Amino acid sequence: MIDFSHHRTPSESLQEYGRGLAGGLMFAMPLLFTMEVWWAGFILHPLRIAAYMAATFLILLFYNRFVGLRKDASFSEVAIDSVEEMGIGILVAALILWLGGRISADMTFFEIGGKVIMEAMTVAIGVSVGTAQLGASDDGDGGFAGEDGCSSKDYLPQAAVALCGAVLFAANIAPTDEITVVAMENSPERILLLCLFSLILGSLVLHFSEFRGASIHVAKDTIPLQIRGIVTTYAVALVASAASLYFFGKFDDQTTYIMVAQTVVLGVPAVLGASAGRLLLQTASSSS
Amino acid sequence: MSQNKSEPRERNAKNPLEWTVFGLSCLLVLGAVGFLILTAITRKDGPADLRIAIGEITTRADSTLVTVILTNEGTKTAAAVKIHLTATYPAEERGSDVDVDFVPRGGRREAIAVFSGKERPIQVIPKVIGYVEP
Repeated sequence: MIDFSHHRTPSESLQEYGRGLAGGLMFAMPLLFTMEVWWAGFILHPLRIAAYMAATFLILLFYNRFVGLRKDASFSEVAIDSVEEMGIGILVAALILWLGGRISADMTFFEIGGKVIMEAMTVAIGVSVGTAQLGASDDGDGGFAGEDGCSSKDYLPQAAVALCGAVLFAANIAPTDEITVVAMENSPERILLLCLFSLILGSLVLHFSEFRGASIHVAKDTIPLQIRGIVTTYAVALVASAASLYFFGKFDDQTTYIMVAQTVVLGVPAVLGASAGRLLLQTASSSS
Repeated sequence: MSQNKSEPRERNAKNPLEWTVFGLSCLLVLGAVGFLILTAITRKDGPADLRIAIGEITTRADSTLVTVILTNEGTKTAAAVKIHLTATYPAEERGSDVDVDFVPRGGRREAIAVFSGKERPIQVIPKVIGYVEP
């Protein structure tokens, strides 16, 4: 028998699902109206879509463990919440695609399923974020961020939350052709400048702009700690970018240079997600 | 999480609504995973295989509309499909081109080719002249 970290009445649960629904739509709306994602649903190999589902589930586990639920939540509870968020994501994505006429009865099951699953994953992350961040401040959902101050700067939890933020930003842009166009049409020197710009952007957000939550969640006591934070944030952004590009088929039939260039280009929004997004994701819970 | 035996803490539990949502979510997620694995197993590697047919022919004030039905019986999606139609009239032959964005594997798409004039053609021959496998 699982001992859950909290108890809700059915009406409180409904309110929470409502927040999740709003969050899911808020974060995934750009993708729900992006043609390249619809196409990816029937162009990509089914196993790659399955891998995308697995990666999203991992992100949900990270997010629910480190931000979304109370610190004493068990792994079972974290997993149950993650499955619920995926299920809600699938339902919401199917509804929006159907309302928009993007899926219909005359399409094959493969086309409908592929489109819904590709869209549902970002909706699921949005549901997770919405459930945790859009709620009342007294619902006890704080994860590592909200339970005690000393653990809120821990390296791995912060890297995990940075990954969630980076994926939220990168996944909304990765499917578009513009990333490939920028990567292909710019010189290597310009791509290198984008790389430097991303590092500077990350540094500004984490260490110089006094972002809300930075004093609680960013370890900056010494110069080496600051450098580690910046480098880790950018590395996480690049991982999120590369993974997003791979899952949306943007690496297919490309040269190594174009793949690296695309990753650096997408790294610009991703680093914003890994730095500012990461702080925003924890702001509501840490202020509760 | 150690518990004091003298002060037993009441277990927190999910309410029936939450268990229902979780049950439905399990079905959806497992269904999606099962569907993807099954599709991957039954999928055969090969090119797109486009079949083309003529559907309904209707006439308007000054044009004739010919419905083209494309089906993809291959295993890959066909993109940027270009179709050329040749319509035979008693006195001449006329051509019309249609582009279709995507025909997913196993999928079906309809497009309309427009020929000028109300005269109904004797015969319309459609032909796929090219496509891309994305």
